[in-house]
Amino acid sequence: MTAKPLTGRLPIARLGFYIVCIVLVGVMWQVTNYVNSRPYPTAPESQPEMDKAVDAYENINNLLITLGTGLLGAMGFLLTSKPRQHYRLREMWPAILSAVFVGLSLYFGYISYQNVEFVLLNSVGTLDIDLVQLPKTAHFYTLLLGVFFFADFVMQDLAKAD
Amino acid sequence: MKTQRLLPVLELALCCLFLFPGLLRSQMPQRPGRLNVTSEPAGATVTIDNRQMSRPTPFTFVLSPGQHSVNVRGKDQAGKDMSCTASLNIAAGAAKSIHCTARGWDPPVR
Repeated sequence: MTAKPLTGRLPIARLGFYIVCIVLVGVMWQVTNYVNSRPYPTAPESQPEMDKAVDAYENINNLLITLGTGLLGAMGFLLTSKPRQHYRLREMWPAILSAVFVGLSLYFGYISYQNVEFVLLNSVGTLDIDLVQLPKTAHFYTLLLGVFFFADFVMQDLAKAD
Repeated sequence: MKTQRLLPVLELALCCLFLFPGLLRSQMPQRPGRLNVTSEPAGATVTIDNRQMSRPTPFTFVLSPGQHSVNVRGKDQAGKDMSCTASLNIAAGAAKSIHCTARGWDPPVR
């Protein structure tokens, strides 16, 4: 049994794509509002402690962003290095989910960076607040989900090649 | 065909959602407020929103805008327990000062 080629479903697939994007934007909008409205009472830390915390944050943020963009690049390479009809839609789900989670990871990385900037500009004096910690944690775990689905896609791809 | 005509509308809606700067600005956190807590004598423990703060009085804490419960506990000059509790509304970018004594807040906190 052969699956319908992806190109035959283009209008519906494109419509679905935009609907999913709009739903995703709405959800992320609400999540960002929730994160940014979390209450925080803080006792500002001393400057050397704050500098160390910001350095550690920057290092892990850069590492996660590099891993995320690398994973998207690898996904693009895998998808374009084979003939177009090589993948059926149901085989593409892990790849789609992986790309979505890596995209979310990059978004959370940006939000946590924006909130660290907010902390520094407003002299909040600590990174130990939900405003920074929630998007930072989401940044890591969404990347982890992206890696998991990417691995699933690669395993499927390898099994098919055999 | 109807779907084909709907796609540009959806694309436009998506672009507006992503790019409209006014909406993006609303995604930023509000400026914090500052609360200066003092007591007589100094060195009392401060609890804000049921979280014990790492610094005793006198100290200026940074708080998110909104309602916060503040409790100051310590010993007065005679060695008796003193405790002051209040619910405060902190406005974005505002600074407030409160002073706890054995007789309660001085001046009273509303």
